[in-house]
Amino acid sequence: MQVYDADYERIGRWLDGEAVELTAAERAVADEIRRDELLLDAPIDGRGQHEAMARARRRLSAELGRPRRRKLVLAALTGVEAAAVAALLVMVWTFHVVSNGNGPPSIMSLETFVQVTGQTDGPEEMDLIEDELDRLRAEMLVELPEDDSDAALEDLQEQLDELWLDGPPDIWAES
Amino acid sequence: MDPQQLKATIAAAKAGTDDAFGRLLEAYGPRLYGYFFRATTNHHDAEDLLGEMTLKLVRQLKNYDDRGRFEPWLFRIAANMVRDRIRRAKVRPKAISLSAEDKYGRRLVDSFGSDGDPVDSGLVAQERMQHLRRALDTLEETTREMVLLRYFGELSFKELAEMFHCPLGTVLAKVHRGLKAMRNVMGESDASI
Repeated sequence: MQVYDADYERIGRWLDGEAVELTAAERAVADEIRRDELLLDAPIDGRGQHEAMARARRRLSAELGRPRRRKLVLAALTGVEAAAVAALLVMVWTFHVVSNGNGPPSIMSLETFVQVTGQTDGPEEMDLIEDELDRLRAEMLVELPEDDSDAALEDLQEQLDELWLDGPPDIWAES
Repeated sequence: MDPQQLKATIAAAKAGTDDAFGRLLEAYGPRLYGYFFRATTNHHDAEDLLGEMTLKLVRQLKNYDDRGRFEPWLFRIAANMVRDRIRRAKVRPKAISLSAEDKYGRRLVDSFGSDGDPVDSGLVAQERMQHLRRALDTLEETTREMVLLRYFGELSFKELAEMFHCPLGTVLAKVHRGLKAMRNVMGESDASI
C-alpha cells in the first residue's frame, strides 16, 4: 500500500489525538505503527530511576544553595582582584580533582582563565568568569564519584564561601 | 502538570523560587531519565545525563521563551546532550575489562546480577536492551532521535515537526520507516537466539 506525505500528515494528527477521519488504508498504517511501538517497550530499572532522581535532587539542591551574594561580590571586584580570584579558583579546583583522582581540569578551562586574567576589567569579563565558574562546577558535579560528590561539593562551597567572606587574600596585594 | 500550573511553575523558577525547580524536576525527571536510559541503554550514563540536565535547567531556564512549548525545549536540550555523548563515545571508544573498576571504584564484574534480582530476569532485561540498542543503531541519526523523542520523550508528532523544522507528514514517514527497520532487526535478533 502506497502512503504519501499528505496521508502521513493525517495519520500523525490522528495519532496525536486529533479528531481526524482516517480512510481504511490510513487506519491500517496507524495500526501498524502502534503495533511496532510495542517493540520499544524495554523495561526501565525502577531502582536505577529512583537512584538517578535522588542524585538529581542533590545536584539541584547543591546548585540552588550557592550563595547568591557571589555575583554581587564578583561584580564589585577590580580587574586585578578578579584575576586573582580566577587563579585561586583554578587552584581550588585543581586541588579537588587531584585529591579525587579524576585527572586534570580541562585545557579549555585553563585557557579561558588565562585569557580572562590577562584582560579583566569590565562587566563582560566578570560574566565570563562567572560562566566559567559555573562550567567548572558542572564539570565537577558530573565527574565526581556519586558517594563523594556531596561532601566534595560542600567542601568546595565552604572554600569558596571563605574566599568571598574573608576579603582579598594576601596574594591580591602582590598582584 | 497542566499547562497553567506549568506556566506558573516556570515563572516562579525564573523568579528564583527554589521549590519551583524542584517541582519541574519531579514532573520531568522520570521521563528524562527514561529518555536518557533508552537512548544510551546504560544506567550510569542516564544518571549522569539527568544530573547534567538538572544543572542545565537551572542555568538555561532564563533563556526559555515561554510560548507553551516547554517540553520540546527541554527535550531538545536532552537530545543534544545525548547526541554529544554518543559522538564523544565514538571518538573515544573504550575497551573495558570486567576486572576493571568503574569510576565509583566498583568492579564491573560485580555489577552483573546485583540489586538482589534473580540473575535470569536481569539477563533477560539486559538482552532486551541490547536488541533495542542494536535496532536503534541501525537508524539514521535524525530518525533515531525522532523515535526516541516520540516514544521516550513522549513528544507529539506535531512537536517533533516543529523541533526538526519539517512537515508533520515527513516526521511520521521517517518514524514509520524507522520502526519497520527496527522490527526487521529485532526479528532477526530473536530468530538468532
